Amino acid sequence: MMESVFILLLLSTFRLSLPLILASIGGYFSEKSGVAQIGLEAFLLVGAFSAATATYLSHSLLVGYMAAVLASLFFAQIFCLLVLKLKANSIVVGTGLNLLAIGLIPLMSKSIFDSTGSTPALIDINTTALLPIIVLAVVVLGSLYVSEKTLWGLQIKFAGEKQEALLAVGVSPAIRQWQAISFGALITGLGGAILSTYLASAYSPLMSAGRGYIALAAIIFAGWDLRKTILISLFFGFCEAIQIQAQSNSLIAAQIPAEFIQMTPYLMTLLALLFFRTKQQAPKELK
Amino acid sequence: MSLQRLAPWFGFLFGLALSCLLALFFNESPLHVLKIVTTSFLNSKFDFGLTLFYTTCFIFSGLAFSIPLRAGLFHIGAEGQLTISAVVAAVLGSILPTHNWFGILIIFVITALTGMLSALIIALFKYYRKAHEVVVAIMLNFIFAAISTWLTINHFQNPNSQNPETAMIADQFQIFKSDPLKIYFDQSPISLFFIVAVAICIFLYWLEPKILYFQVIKSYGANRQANQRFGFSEIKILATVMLLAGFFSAFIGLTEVMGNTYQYKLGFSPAYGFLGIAVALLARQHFLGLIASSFLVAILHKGASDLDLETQFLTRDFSQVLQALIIFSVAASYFFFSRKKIKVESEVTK
Amino acid sequence: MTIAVEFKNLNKTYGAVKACQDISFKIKRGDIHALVGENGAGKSTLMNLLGGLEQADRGEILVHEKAYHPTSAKEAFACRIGFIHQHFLLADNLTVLQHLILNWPGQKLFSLFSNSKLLKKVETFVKKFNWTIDLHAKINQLSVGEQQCVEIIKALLANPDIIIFDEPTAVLAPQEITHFLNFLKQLKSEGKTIILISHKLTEIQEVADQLTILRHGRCILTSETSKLSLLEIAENMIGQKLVYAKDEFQAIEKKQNLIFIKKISLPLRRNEILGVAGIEGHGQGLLIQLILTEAKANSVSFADIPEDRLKFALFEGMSLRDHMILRHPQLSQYGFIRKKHATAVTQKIVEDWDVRPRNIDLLAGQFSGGNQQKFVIGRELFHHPELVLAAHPTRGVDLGAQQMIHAALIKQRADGKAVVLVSSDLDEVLKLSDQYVILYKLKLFGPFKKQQLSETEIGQFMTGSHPHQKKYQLGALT
Repeated sequence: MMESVFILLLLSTFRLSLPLILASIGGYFSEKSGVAQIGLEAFLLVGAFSAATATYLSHSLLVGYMAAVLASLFFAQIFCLLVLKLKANSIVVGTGLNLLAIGLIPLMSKSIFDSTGSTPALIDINTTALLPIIVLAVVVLGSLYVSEKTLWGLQIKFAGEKQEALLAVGVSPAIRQWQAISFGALITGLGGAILSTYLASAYSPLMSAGRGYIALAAIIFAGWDLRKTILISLFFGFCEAIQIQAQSNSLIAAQIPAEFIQMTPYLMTLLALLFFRTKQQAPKELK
Repeated sequence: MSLQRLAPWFGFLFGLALSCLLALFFNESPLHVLKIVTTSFLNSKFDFGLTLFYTTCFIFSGLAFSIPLRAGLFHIGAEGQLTISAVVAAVLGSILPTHNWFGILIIFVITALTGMLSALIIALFKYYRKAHEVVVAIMLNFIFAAISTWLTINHFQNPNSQNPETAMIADQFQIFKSDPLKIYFDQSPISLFFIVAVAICIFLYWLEPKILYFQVIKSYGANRQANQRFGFSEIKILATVMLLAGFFSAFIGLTEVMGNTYQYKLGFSPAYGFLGIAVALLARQHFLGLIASSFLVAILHKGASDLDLETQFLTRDFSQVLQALIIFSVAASYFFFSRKKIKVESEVTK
Repeated sequence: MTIAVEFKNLNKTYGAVKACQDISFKIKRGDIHALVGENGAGKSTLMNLLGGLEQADRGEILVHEKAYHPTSAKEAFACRIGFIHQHFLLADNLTVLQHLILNWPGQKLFSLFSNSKLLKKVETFVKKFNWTIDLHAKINQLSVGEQQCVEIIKALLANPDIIIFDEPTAVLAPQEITHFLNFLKQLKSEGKTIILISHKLTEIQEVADQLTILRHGRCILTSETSKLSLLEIAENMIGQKLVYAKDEFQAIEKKQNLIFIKKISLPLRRNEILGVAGIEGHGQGLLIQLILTEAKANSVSFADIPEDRLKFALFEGMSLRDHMILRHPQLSQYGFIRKKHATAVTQKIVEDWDVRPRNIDLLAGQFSGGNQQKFVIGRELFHHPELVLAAHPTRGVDLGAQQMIHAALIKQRADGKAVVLVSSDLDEVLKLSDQYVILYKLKLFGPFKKQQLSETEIGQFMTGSHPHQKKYQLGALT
């Protein structure tokens, strides 16, 4: 009995942490290059909605994933234009981006499906873990390689720590930031795609449920270190898994109200911020 | 008024125009959308009163964002604070036995304290744990929402309704039902709280340059290290701005519960907390400007909510799109209007 | 080709300021050529033009007798011009190796780092110049001298032919300076051309073959170093005969204790200027905090003149009057600002200290460095404090203001105040102090009277290598 609960928890953790890991990797690139990123929620939602819609219309999961990538890339361009070119405050623009996603998606949903916000269920689509696992592996290995072993990754770090050093070698920090933000956004968008096509079988309103912010908390906690970020996201996924197990367990559900169980991820994040001081400093040029 | 001060208003107009153009994408006429969005507040006395009610909430929300911003804090926790304050006000209103002016005072005080203490948590996290205020605020927003839902559904549910809402507050506490503004505007949600909001703005505008501590807060936001070198207490500054912010967030709860519905309805806030950001940015930290920008945003908000009925494809979600585009345009407008500061008698800085 | 660099009628204007006006002179190949001038004379602008960081408005530059129009630092590299800046372009949180990789030419953007060639080259430098450096250390773990080393290696990686050094010895101890000057001679023997921006005239006399003096953006003269005396150089720098102020130092015998700092057994006495010498980064900040804490604990009024005024003493977006109000609570009553009083008081300070322009409503960021510093000092001395704590008070300030500030410190001393002068400029410390201590790795050594130690010995204390180091230890800051 305990064994099956344990296995269930493990599998559950894996599933639930997928969007978180991807979102936090996506946010990592932006933050590491010196641009604060609280718009992860927007990229998740936009990715989730586009994937669900495209998959439904095309009956192909691959097309859905590609749609997620394109949509989040598009949103990222809006962000980059405002923050990098027009020098707007990244937190203000991130907030605006979240609002834009929250407002635009129901409108699109009404136009396309005449629904109040959800997309129709994806019944006949292959929803095994195959594609998500491949995506996860590629993203994790790819981002570790790019960030730690390439010159581009090093330049991203310099963009976030000392822009003048980058200028002195003839590289524009703004261009690297643009690239980092865009790259990060498409990864986050993929996380959204997994959210609506693997964790669920459709898009429902606000289904990201604050994961974008939890991902940001993971990055900050990890001291802006990529490996640690991935591990901490996994841990937050674990918390969410426990929360869902607890809800379905009738004994526990009787003792603790549903709402309190639901707020576990947020509470855990807060407690984590409370008990663990972030040892490493933020990138010096983070704005 | 320098061109720089007017920048956000140009941004506002541009954002508005852009949003209406966006309507083309949904097969609606931009001019039709523009007309609805900008004139629906004039449709009737009730509509105008409703718009003023929104204005009230936006003013408080704008203050809740503006004041911490002076200290350099990006405070987006108003949403959670106003929710929990509204619940507290509604619950007190329905269970408090002292049905007189004293009872009303208790409601006001406890609700205000609720908001203030909720906001203080953010200051404490920031100071003692160096935690980023945005992440803390957002976590708290979710947590307070969950607590409010739990309190409402499990303990204080209105027995006379299927909707998730608290019981009505006692009749004796519904004093604003008969306030002059409400009567004039045909029983719309507006109440004397509107006057309170405007008065606070005017008072703060007059008071700010005169008070030393406001300058201390401003200097902290401008250069934290120099401020600390001067010997000012950081925790006192953070606590002060957050307590004030929480106070104003709580007033949104009071405006809704005491002045409008006389109960707490789950999800009553159309993201006042976030829209307060747009309002504050437009006003560019100016207290009087806040009144004007709140009114403008309220007009748009009222207009957007009518889009549901008046158009085929646009819903009240369009309000969020509108706000987002306006935030973008306002934020970008600073770029187009900023002039490089010319150093007077400058020496060449290498 | 015996001319490495030639400037022909070079002009560069920033807004209303003519940073470079018709500058023309030649730099011979294989020379160590010094560029001398006051702050704002145009030295750095000229070098920025040479280094591709700025573009000239008019005129031309010839490198090895070929036209040279760099539009970026990268082009300058390509022309084998290396630039070692005064303010290091180093990221605190990243390692030495990462900085070198960044500057290693020829790496592809997305391929795996191949460090072998890089490491070999670094090793040759380290052997040749006798350095020791930990490649995996983060920049913030290195001393200032080591950081400069990193900057130099960075520049040498591209195999430059012409190397520009901007104030390289500003942050070094006497021994390190000697080592560095020898390094320059070594570079010269390899045929490199060196341009040395410096205001340390004695060092220039030691290594430079030629020097060029700039003043107010114009080239005043170029000559062989040996043909000019120190006095002539200095006078050409400021454009007028130097009147050496008679030493207004009257020896004062009886001195009262103002504060005694137990932790480091350091008494701060009235009528005394106590100097604190030492290389930057050895605990100056901590010492100042300690003194400030003691002063506050003993209710001693103080003037706090920090070493980085933009960081610690000024709010760029606030007016001068606002600064006065923030600093002096007596300008407010019951939390309300007494605007008329504050205005009058600020106005007087601005006039007494010759802060230009005399507009107290202007924002602090709109004033030049010298005027900002004068205002800060005026503001700090407003309430006639008992203790004056000055850290690098003449940094980035022109000679005229420097003299005003030094005179002010001397006057405070005469008026019975206790003055503490923290500075990495050894000359300044030795000139003004009655007695001084030396900071090394968070420990204090001394106190020493004016002529007690030779420069060599001071250098030894500053680097922890004096034979009697322990004997003179006063205390530790931690």
